[in-house]
Amino acid sequence: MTDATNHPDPDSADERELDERALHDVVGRLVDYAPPVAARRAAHIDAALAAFDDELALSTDDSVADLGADLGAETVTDLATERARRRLLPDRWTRGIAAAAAVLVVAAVGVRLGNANSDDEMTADSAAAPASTEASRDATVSDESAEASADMSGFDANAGADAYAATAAPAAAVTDLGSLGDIAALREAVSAQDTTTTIAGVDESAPPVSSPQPASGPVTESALEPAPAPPGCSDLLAGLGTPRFTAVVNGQRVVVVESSSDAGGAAPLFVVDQTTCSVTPL
Amino acid sequence: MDERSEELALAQAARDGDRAAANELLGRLYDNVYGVCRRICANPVDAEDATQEALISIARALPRFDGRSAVRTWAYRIATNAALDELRRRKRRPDPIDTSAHDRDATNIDGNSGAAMADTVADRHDIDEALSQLAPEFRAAVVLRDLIGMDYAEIATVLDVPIGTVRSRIARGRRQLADQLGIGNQTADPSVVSEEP
Repeated sequence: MTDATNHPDPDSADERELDERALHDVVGRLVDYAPPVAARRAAHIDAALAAFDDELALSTDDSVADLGADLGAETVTDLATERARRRLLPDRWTRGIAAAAAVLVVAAVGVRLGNANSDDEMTADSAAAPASTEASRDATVSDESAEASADMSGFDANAGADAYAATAAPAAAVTDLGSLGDIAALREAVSAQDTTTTIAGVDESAPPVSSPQPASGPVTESALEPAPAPPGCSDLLAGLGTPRFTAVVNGQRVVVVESSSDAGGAAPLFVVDQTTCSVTPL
Repeated sequence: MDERSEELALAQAARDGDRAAANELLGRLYDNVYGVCRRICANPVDAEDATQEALISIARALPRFDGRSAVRTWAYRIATNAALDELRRRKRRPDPIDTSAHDRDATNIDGNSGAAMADTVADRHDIDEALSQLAPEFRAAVVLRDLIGMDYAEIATVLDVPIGTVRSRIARGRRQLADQLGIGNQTADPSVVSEEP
């Protein structure tokens, strides 16, 4: 062990606070300790060497990695490739985002078109449904069917109106008396007071749709006869004038009414359809 | 080539991966590293733990040793810090009476007579007790100076304090040790020990 007395320090004036003998005794006591047994010493050094080996292995790995990063043209080439790839990366992202947006747009359009087709199908189905769909509703249908029926109810009303219009159209055709020839025949019959005149020549090319007696040839039956009081449109006839004749045109009963006018000249004539009570000038 | 140059060469060889050089250097440093730890810890068991920690730290630091300071100054700094850390750990845990520690010292006493052996054991126990009464900073300064033989500048480097502080700590530590051990006629002044310049 080292003896402090062998290391005089000119600056250590404080050391003189202990006399030479006392300092020697203190140092002698300090150095007097038992060293560790040899086995423990060897174990300590072995453990330290193991730590040294571990640290050296780690340092070697780092050095190898550094060399690999610094040496070789391939590494430089790889870095350039990596830079190029990084530069291309934003473009790829942009393309990808654009493609995704296009797909979304196409999908949205497809969904929209699909919905439109569904509406068309529903419209077609509803149009195909008869006007009496309401009567055919089943109380046991599911909720979805009930909702569908509810949605269709408004359309059914329109369909009913269309059906009514289609039904009313023949009545208007009746009051039009088919053609100018029919009107002229009626006028002649009225002028001649001829109650036996038969009106013919109704246009067969446009038969009334819902006529109870489809025109399967000339209007065969048109017997002009003095008009009795018509049953359904009596109030209208009373206000309009004097009924002069009744006739059957295309299966519909009509009344020819002479307007009660005080003015001079021929009194205007009207044809009243007794089914619809519609009035048509003659 | 002197001892200092030899140790520097060994350290550089170990830094380059020479395991034999590391083994040689650790063997050379071991006795003084253990001495530093033994006296700062004032307990052979704690000293062995501190020595193990110090040697492992030295071995791990060898690949990065830059040679700016002497190998021994660098190694003693590591050993001093390991011993002071061991003291801090011992303060946080119970301090059981370890009779086996001094029995271990007794087994290594060279002597023929039983009376001489008993005296030696008693003396070693007394110095441990006296050191235990010193503040660790004073203990380290005295040990590095009187046990290892470092000069004040080296101690200042190891302890990272000014040289004046080193001088003061050494003087006061010695005086308290002498008083605790009953050496000389110096009167101990307990208030002086706790003061820090």
